[in-house]
Formats: sequence, C-alpha cells, structure tokens
Amino acid sequence: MTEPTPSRVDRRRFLLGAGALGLGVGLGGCRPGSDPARAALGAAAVPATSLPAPSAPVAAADPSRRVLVLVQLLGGNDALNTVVPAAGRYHDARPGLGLDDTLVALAGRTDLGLHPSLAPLADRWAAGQLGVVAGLGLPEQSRSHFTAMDTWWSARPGEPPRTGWLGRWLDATADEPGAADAEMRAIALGGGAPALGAEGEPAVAVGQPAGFALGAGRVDIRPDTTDAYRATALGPTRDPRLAAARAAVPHALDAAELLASLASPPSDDDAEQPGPGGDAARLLDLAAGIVAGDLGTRVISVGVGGFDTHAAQADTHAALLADLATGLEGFLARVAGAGRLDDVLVVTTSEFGRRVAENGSAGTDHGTGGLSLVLGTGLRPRQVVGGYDLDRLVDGDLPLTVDTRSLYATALGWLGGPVDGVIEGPIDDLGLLASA
Amino acid sequence: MDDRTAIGWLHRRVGFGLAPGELDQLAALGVDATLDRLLDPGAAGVAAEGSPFDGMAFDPQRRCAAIIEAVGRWLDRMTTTQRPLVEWMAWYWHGHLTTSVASVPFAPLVGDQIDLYRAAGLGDLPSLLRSATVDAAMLLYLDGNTSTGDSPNENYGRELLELFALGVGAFDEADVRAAARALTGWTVARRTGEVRFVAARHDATPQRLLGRDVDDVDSVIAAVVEHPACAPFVAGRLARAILGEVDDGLVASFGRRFADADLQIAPLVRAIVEAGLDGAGTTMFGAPVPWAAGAARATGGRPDRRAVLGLLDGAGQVPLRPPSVAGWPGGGAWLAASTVVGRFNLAFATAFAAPVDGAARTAAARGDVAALADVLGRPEGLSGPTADAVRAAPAGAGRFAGLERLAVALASPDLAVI
Repeated sequence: MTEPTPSRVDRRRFLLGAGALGLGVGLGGCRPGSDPARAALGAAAVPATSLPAPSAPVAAADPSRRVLVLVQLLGGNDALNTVVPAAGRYHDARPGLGLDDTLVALAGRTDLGLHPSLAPLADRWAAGQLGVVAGLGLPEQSRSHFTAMDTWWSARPGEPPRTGWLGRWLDATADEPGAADAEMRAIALGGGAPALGAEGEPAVAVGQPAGFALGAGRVDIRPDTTDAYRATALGPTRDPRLAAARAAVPHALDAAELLASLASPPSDDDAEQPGPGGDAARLLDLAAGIVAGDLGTRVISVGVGGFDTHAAQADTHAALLADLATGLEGFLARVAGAGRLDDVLVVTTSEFGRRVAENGSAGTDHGTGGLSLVLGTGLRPRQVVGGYDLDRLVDGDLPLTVDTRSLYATALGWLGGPVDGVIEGPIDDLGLLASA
Repeated sequence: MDDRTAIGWLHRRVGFGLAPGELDQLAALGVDATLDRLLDPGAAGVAAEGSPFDGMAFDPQRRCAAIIEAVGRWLDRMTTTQRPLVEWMAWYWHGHLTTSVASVPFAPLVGDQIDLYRAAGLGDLPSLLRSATVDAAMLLYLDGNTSTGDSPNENYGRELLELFALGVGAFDEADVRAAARALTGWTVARRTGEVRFVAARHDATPQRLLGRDVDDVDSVIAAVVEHPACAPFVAGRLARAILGEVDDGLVASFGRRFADADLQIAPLVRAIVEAGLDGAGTTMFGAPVPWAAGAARATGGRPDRRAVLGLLDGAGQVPLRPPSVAGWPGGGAWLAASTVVGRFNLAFATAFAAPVDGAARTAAARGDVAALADVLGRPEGLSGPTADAVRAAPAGAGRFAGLERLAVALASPDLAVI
C-alpha cells in the first residue's frame, strides 16, 4: 500500500477508517450457497385508473451536482416483511411473522404492500418517487455476513475484496469538473465504509458521528487546547508514519468541525434527547445537511445496523423500519427545503435477504434475495423490478431475479457514469430511471 | 538504542506501556534482564496473575452488562499487569484466532478463550491451535457447534487454513471440506457453555487433508502444523505485528527458526524482538486499545468504564469485538478521522481522570516536557512540534492543573506512532 504523504492527503478524500464498527453487526456461519435460478425480469404494473397522477420525473439540470445516497442496512434486512407479498405461500411460511391486514397499500398494486412502519413511503410511491427492486443479489450469494458483505461492497464476486464499487467510481471520476474544488466529495457515515474503499485515497469514514467531535459532545474543549493539539501535527519528518499521523490531525479536526456544522440543531423540545430518532434518522439528517451544505459531495453512504433478526423479529424489525422511514422522509424534506431534491437518488440495500420460512425463535435466518428501495424525483413512476418468486424457492430461499451489479450500474449511470471499468459482469437496464 | 529507549520500545511493541517508576526499575536491570523478565516472568519471580474474568458466572440472560464488564476488566488488566508480554500475547492471539462478542454474546465464554490465549500464548503452536479449535466461544463463533457429519459446516475449517495457520494458496477447497468433516462432533451446551464431543455427530471416515489422512481434531492440527507453509505464515504475521514492515528474507528466517524450535512461540517472539532491538522493522501506527491501556498505565488515569468503551468504539477498536474473523485491519486504518478524534477524547478523559499530584499531571503542569516524555515511556524525548505544543497549551489550575497539556501530549502524533 502506498504511504499517504502530506501532499496527497487533501481535504476531499480522507483516510479509510474502521468505520464498520459499533453497529452490532454479527458474523454468522457460512452455509453452502445455492445456485440461483435467474427468473425473468420485470413486474406487471397494474394500470392506474383512479390514482393521482404521479409527479413528472425531473432530471437535474447538471449531472455533476447529483448526489447518490447509499443506505446500507447491515445484518441482512428481511425483504419479505419490508415489501410484503400478498401470497398464500408467504403466510404459510410465516404463521407468526406474516403481515396481512396491517399492510400499507401501494397505490395501483394488490400483490405487494408495505410494512406498516413504512407508511410515510406510500405517498412517495403514489407520487412516483419510490421504486422497488426485489430478489436482488449476486451469483453464489453467500449467507455468511463476512463473505456476503465483501461482495456486496466490491461487486466482484469470487475475488478477494480490495476496493468498493463506489470507491472505484470515485477513483475513475477524480478529475471530473468540480472534483478539485469539492470540500467533501464522498463520506461514509456509520457502517459500510468499505463500499467506498478506493485504490488511491479512500473516502472518510465516520463510524460514530455523534461522538465525532473534540469533547464527544459532552465536554467543551477550549480553543487554546484545540490549537495546541493542531500544533503537535506541524512540521516535516523523515518518518513516513509520523508524517501520515501528523497529516491525519488537521483533516480529522476539519472534518469534525464541518460535520458538526451540518447536523440539525436540537430543537428546544428534545434538548434532553441525543437528536432526531435512532441511527438511521440521525445519520440521514447529517447526510441531508451535507447535501444542503453544497460541498461538492457526490456520494454519501449511510450504514445502519441491527437488521440481523434471527430471533424475536417482529418488534425489532418494526422499530428499525420506522426509524428508516423517519430518516428517509426527514432526509428528503430537508434536502427539498434546500432546493436540492432533484439532485439526490437514495438507494437502500442490504447484504442479503432472509429465509422465506420463519425459524423456531420467532425470527428469520440468512437467506438470499434482497430488496432495494429507490427514492428520488428522477424515477419512472411506480416501478417494481424483479420480484418474489415464491413458487421457485431454492433450498427455501428466494431465487435471485436481479443482479446487484445492475442496480449499482443504474446508480452510477444516474451519477453520470462511467460504469465501464467500475462494474463488470452481467448488467441489465432495470428501467428504474426516467430517461434523462 | 540506549537501554532506556529500548525498554520503552519493548513495552510499546509487546506490552502496554510503563507505569511511573517502572522505566527506572527496569533500566537498573538492563535490557537483557528486562527481556528475560518479559518472556518468562515466572522465572524472574513475578507473581502469577489469575484470570481477570474471575467471578463472572456464565449467565445467558445477562449478556450486555457482562460484555461491558468483561471488556472493562480486560482493559484494567492490561493497565496493571506485571506480565505485560504474556498479556500482549493474549491480545495478539485474540486478534488472530478471533472470536467476537457480537456473535458470541456470552462474555464469560469469550473470557475463557482469552484466558486460554494468556496461558498458552507463548507455548507451542500445535497445542494452542488444538485448544482454540475446541474452545467453546470459537465453536460458537465459527459454527463448529452445529457442524455434524450429516451436515458439516465449513466455516472453521476454512478460517483455520486461510486465516489462522497457512494463508491463501496453501490449500484448496477439498482441504477445507476435509478439515470440516474431520472436525465434526464438537458441541457447546447452550445453557452451561460446556464443550462436549459427541461421537454420533462426528464423521469418523478418514479424510484427505493437505496430503495426509485425518479423522479428528488431533490429526487435523498435526496435518496443518506440519505443512511447510505454517511456520513462515504464523511467524510472518507475528513478526509484522511486532516490527512493522519486514522483508521477506527476514520473515523466512523467522519461519525457519520457528520450525527448528518445534513451533514453540516464546523463542520466536524472542528472535523477533531481538531483531527489532537491532534495528529490524519500521515505525508502526499504534492501535487504540494498547495505546489507551498505556495512557492509563503511564498517567494513573482510569476513566469510567462505559465512557472508555464508547470512546474506544468511536476510535474503532473495542476488545472482544473485532470487526470480522480477520481481526482488526490495523496499519493506516488507525489514521481514520474518527480514530484521531476518538484518540483525542480518550486522551482528554484519561488526563482528566489522572491524579493531579501524579507524575504525569505534575510534569505537564510545570511544562517539563522532558520529564513528561519519560513518564510517557519516551525517554528519547518528544518531537519539537509536540514539545512546543504541550508548553503552549493551557497549564490549568487547581484540580485541572496539567490536564490539557497532558491530554495534548497523549493525543499527539508522537504517541500515535510506536
């Protein structure tokens, strides 16, 4: 690995951190992967008759201002209880966990509904700002968190992980217009930072934004002390490690000050509270601040943990999804308020889905086909890509109907590309985006 | 290096720093005697230290509190141990033969594993690997517990070959399957944590592993350790953890010496450390946990356990919770923005907790950088910028005297590089 020298470490890209900590990601065992059958793409869109017309999709005037927000749900989000099929086999397999009359309807569809915690997203669906991709995954999908996450981040199955798919994109576009002046081109908040891992300078990872300040939000550090601390990092040295450790100080402090200025101030009511909502809500609020701050940011990854619901899933999952919905709505509202709603595309993913049948602990075990919720004003309205092929389970798991790389390619295409040289392998046009 | 510098170096690389007065005591003994004492404290008359987790009963109900307790106790042990290299080896094996409380949330079981690494970490590799293979926490972490002859689980077999003993390229998938089958039959009783071998769950059919016939844990370990890749792989990983960057020729020589010593770990550590004292290797980025333990040891500052855990989490390293079975990536990862900020906050919390009349705070309050450097295990002195910065920081008054200057010194890049 090349040594970072002071001249190469600059404000745009910071050094990769152990950002995947702190969010309770468990590491399960490997079970032999199944060979997925690739079913046909596409879903039947029920013609809308008495629905409000969805908002016309808007293309941002300047693609180089577009920001991709990747929301990573760490642990393996249960797709089937997030966007729920109205199918007998689902209920047969989930006598305890199955959702039915509490589902929130998706306008124009009778085959799928939303988990009740995601009620706010139903309006986004109706307005044509929410898309769904189901049966998502990579070939030889592993059910080990460790292995699945590596390929989820690298999009290079079968290879030892070295870079993340977004890291490669950041490398490929390091010289695009605006990149040189960007104050914060890419950032990973919470877990999942390896998706942004690059060959050159990986993007900054802030695993715990709440504590990411001198004083950790609990103690006021005097300016003289902060200045003295910055001063320890001055001066040249022949030792490359000391040089790198010195360079890391002002960049860390600058990043901390910048991020602190971007989070929503606590309202008077929640002066006692740590801030809006749970992890997803807090991190997405910070992400919104970064977008609103107009820092030249192109990629924000938000990683939220806790989705590995092996036991007593019902309440835990409901709370996680409620937090996610709060976070997504809060993000979109704050970004809209800053006049940048058309500049953002939000893509949620998880390293795998979960098994169709519930287990003996009122939970679900690692499975295969996952789910992505895609939000933005640039979507073709009310698309469901792929699906839940409950009649063709493979070892009790959903077959993969959409290759993750196609989803990633869609996201990169929306950013203005390139895709070539960043994502290899079978790529299908998912038809998620309005042509722009 | 002169003696004092060498002793400071030793306690940074294979220890957890030095308490006030320790540097003087050990300097009086000399480097050789200090190294002997580190490698064989019993022979040097240092009292045995039991498990830091004593008294923590296995209780499946009381998980989170127990984990916090166990981490706190281990940090305390690192800070106070009179057998630092032995404890450092336990820490090293924890990051190499990994298990995480994120998946095995039973602190006493993981504590037992750490105790194993303390007891066997300087012994012979085959015994250490064998014990680790049938350790309760390991069986749960890498699914040995549910691996049966009817349905073998390959997780442990793969990591044994790939991460623990041989490295990628020395084995193939058939070897993974063979190891997995031969290692079936081991179970952990969920309510008590007791490990049992159940013959009915074991596939006793001879398997072909690395060119040898194996059918149980002993034959698997024998096949693994006798593979020519084992000694250089294990020696190389340990050498890089202690010395930083080392050339392949030196790693190969460590591997040969390790094999010649019948895979006894203590002689390997001695060889590695002596090479370092002679100039082999490079500077390294220090990891947050040993750094934090060293800061507490040098200053006498022991912040609230929960606070330390939260700050270590922000810095990116919590004992008992490595991010993956590959352990902590280390190296440049410790320059992450959150690690830099976390380190400052830990420095401040430690300096705040340090007694105002202790050696660290009083030296800082006086602005006596030379004395402060000595206390912090850097008798060679701090760098010019850090020395200037410490003197420029507010001196503080009353019960805050020396607090900010000490925090700045602890957080400085000088101490982030070992």
